[in-house]
Amino acid sequence: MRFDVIFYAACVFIAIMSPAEAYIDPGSGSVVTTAIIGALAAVSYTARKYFYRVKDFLSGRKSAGKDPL
Amino acid sequence: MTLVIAEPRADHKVVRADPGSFRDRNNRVYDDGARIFRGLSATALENWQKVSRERFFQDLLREGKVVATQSVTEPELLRHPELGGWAGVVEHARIPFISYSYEWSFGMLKDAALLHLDILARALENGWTLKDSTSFNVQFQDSRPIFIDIPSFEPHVEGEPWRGYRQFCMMFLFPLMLKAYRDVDFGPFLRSDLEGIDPSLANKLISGRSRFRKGVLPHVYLHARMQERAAARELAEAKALNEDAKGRVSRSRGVKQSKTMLLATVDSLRRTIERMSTADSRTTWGDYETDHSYGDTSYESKKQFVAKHAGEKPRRLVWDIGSNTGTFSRLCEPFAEHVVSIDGDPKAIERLYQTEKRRPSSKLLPMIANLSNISPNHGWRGAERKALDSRTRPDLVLCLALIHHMVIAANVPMQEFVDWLHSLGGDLIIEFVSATDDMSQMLLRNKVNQYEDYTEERFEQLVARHFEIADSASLKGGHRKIYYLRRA
Repeated sequence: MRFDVIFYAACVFIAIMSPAEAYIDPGSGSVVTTAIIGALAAVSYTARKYFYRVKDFLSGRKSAGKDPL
Repeated sequence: MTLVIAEPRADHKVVRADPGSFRDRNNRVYDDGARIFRGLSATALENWQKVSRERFFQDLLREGKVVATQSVTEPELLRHPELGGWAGVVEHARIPFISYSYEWSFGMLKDAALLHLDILARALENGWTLKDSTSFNVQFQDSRPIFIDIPSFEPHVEGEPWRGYRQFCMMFLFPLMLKAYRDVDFGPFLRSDLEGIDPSLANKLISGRSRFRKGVLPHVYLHARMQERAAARELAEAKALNEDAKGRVSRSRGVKQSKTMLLATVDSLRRTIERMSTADSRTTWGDYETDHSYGDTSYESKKQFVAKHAGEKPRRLVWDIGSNTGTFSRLCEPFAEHVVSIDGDPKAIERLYQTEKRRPSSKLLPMIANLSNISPNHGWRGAERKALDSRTRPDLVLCLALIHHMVIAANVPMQEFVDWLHSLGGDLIIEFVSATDDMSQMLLRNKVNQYEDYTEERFEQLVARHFEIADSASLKGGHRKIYYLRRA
């Protein structure tokens, strides 16, 4: 009997304590992350693109197959 | 291998919705037992009509990277009670056997991830995107990954972020990192949570020196920290939204991203994943071809027995359970349309996959499964993902050098194991490994012997209840016996 009272009281307490937890969208952080990663990756991506173009220009070759874009 | 759309069959009129296809309200998969259909909403139909005319999409179809798909025009199907409510219907080539990422080896998940990124990059370059990144959108046609979710193709809106990034990390990237950087098998994680590995969990698992491996700091550490910060902010917001406060829900943070940023992210992920590898350590049976306990003569006799009886008639689908590196699976290829090679050892299956993916004519689908604890029915209503033995049934099962592991090592009663083999619905080629065999003795070394009924006589009594014993042969000096059992 006493156990039941404690158990139900604990359930009610947990239910009252943190209803807000259920409304957190775990994807919100991912949207910001992908923007940061995208910006950083774009710098390296563009740098490599021009590196290959310059390299190919100096060696007199066409850039086909080397361009990361 | 070219995918062929099945000929319409008039005798399959019961069309059932796939219980695992419900998340995207714009489409749903249906199965009539022979053909696979997909109902499309007006938006999804418009997208399909547009994307199917795109050169890049036609290239993906021709290369076998996207499942063969065609519009359905048969009036009786378009008026069907299940399909009639959709704006349009397409038909996909049937995948011979459905498998899930928690049953794949490292190399299989890696190739599935690279396929996804390749398709996404080509879509983005042509003004399209993939709206999600679940690993369930990739299946294996024998040993070749293939993308199956056509309605995932959507026109890309300039400035929109990659919505599937988080899902790609959870279902592909983090499991691969776990194996490549920590040598932890990802199967149990993906099987227990169908959404994949959460960034916060990944951040705890891929820690220490692994944090400095390629891709971990941005995709795992930063990702987890950003998620935790966003969660704290949203928690505070949710607590403030009570009736008295009359607060307003803040709008989703739109972060615009150029196409170059998206392509750069995809390219960076591709290079990270391409570099991943696992330790090629030997397993107990990793070199089965040379380390098995057979002498050459007995082993040849066993091969001849299997080839003779498996080839008794054409087989649509063969299961080789306890396949190890696939020697006996390959013996079935001349008379089988497809072979599913199942083993509980991830390294053996990885070796098998690496061999088979380089063989264009391969009919083998390698899969990891512990047969005393196979993948269950689970997900929504326990029906979203099917148990291993609730999918396409085999018409022949090979069960070689396995029964002693089930009865002695896993303590499965022999009668229950035989009943389960019978429930699969096919003929059976099974090797009985007696308790006097050296391998059985090894399993018995540290166990209390409670297997008095594990005898050849009892085994024959049990199988005779379900099968006709069509042939048998003694192997290994009488310590083993192989049987061909026809389903009665």
